[in-house]
Amino acid sequence: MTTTAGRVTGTALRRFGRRHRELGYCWAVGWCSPAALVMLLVCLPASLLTDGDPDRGLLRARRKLTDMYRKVPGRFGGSAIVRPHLRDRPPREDPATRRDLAFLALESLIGPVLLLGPGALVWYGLFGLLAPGIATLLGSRGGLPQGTVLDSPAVALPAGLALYYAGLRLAGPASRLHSRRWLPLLLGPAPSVAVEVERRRLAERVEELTETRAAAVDSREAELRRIERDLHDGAQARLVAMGLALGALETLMDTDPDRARELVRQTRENSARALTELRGLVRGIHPPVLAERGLVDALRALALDAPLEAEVDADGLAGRAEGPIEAALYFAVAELLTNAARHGDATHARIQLSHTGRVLRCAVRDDGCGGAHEEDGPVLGAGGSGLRGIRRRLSAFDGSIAIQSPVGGPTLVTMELPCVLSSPKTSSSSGKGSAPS
Amino acid sequence: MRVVLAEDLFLLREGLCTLLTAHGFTIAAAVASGPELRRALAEEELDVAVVDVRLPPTFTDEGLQAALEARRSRPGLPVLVLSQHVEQLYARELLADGSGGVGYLLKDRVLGAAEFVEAVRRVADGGTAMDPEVVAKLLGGRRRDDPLAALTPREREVLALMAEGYSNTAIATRLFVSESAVGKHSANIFGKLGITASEETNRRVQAVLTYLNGSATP
Repeated sequence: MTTTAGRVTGTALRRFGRRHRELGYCWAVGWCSPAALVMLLVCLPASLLTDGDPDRGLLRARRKLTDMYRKVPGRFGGSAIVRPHLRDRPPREDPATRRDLAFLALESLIGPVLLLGPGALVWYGLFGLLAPGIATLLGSRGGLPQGTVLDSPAVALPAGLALYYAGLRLAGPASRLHSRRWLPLLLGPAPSVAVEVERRRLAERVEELTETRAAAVDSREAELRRIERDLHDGAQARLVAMGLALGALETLMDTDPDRARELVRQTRENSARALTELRGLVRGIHPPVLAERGLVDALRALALDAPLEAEVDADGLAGRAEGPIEAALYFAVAELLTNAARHGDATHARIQLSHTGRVLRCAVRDDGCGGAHEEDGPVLGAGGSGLRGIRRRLSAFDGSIAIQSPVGGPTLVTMELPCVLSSPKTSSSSGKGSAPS
Repeated sequence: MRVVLAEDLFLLREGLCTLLTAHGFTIAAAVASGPELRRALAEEELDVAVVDVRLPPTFTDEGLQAALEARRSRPGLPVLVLSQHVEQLYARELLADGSGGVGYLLKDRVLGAAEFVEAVRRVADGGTAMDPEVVAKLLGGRRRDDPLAALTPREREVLALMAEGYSNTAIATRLFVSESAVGKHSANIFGKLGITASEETNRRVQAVLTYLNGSATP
């Protein structure tokens, strides 16, 4: 019973939240139409005077505004509209130029009617009827509007609520109509160049993928070479030495027990060292905590071992990312913490993880002396260190890194990786309730 | 002394069985996976459990989770956790309940048979056995409000050995000083870390916990 009631309440609350988000869309995007109108009034005469070849500055400003509109659907659960401008054609010959202008003209009409309408209903319902009605009910109405309807709360209150509800119900269809039908109509590529625009977008993407794939292969190659060298010079060599020592022991055991004992001690030391080296190597390939517990606990373990005070805030993370993505972020954060302590002289760092809109975001802030920039630190091969190395590693996943590090500090590095989280594991191994915080 | 042993690598499991039996332990159960371990920890009459962190079927931290769970339902159940790597994070989780009877060692330590057996005994008696590598990490951090900053180098040495789980006698032997000197050092340590008098074993666990809790919270 209670669970059913809870579920119903939950659904109702979610719907309430969604409707208000839609209302927010109407209100926020609706109020951009004045900007569209102003832009149109400035651009139209200019483009008429110059025979459709607009002034560079104006053109840029106009494209900025229409590009902002193109991003709107992406912000509200859809996907952003691809920019249809053809870079290699003069603006006058680009159909997108005319279509942008037409969009501005129509949007300055459609925006207010379609979007501000529901908003106005809600606004009037709340502040024109409901608030004065309540004020009348309470008997204090200095300065509030008068009227026959308002004087009788029995009419004003239900009417106010009805308007509020009507506005709220209209906001959904209005916002969907605007973002899914109207915006792509003129802001998307013209039918005559749509194929061309798509072809170019794909070509750009292929180029980008070729580059990042080459970088990924290079860094994997460098990594394997490093591992090979470490094994060859380390554990492998020690095992050979141990084998030799054991061979010598066979003869020495009877002839020279003292020497044999010493050799046994050495051999044991060698085996211990080989283990230590292998452990270090394993950590560099794939940190054990990452395999055992996932990114969040691995970062916590990293923070505990870091040469500075570090805290991890991952409350906003409700699942696990793919293994390679977790590993890439782990090594990036490890690099950043080392840099912060070594070059930035930082004593405190904060690692924040969150996942919104299919993007995993990791922000690392430290209180060091700043001044970090990408040319810093050598890039050893492709798997090298430094911020550029991190960028390369993240680019294989379409990830990005932004560095804010003014001289004098503090430094804030934000990394973003597009990915979908899997739901948290429900098996027994996730029973981390006892983890002290 | 009855031991429950959980280790998925056959060779190592057999080796540990042989080693412990040779030193007078009785193997109550030797298991190779998480579910088997859970069953053994719940059912067997045991004095100490020796558990590998990573176990099938998930090959994540099954062993550690099983050990932590068992200690929640049977507080103070002596558990010695073995792993190919040591993490402060796991050490914290094991020590968090403050009731002792906890060990956390690298698998490498099995090679030093005498010391390893000694560690198992200590844990079974309610003491601690922390791997030197964990302790080094705990004491090696450079932190702003380090509660250990007030300690002299000698006191830090004593604390490190104490954290590994050694008794005053053992510490005295290792540092080539008299037992009363170690007693004086540990009294100073407890004083500087603000640990009030209580049972000796608990104070020792507390000394390590003070450090853990004083350091950055994840």
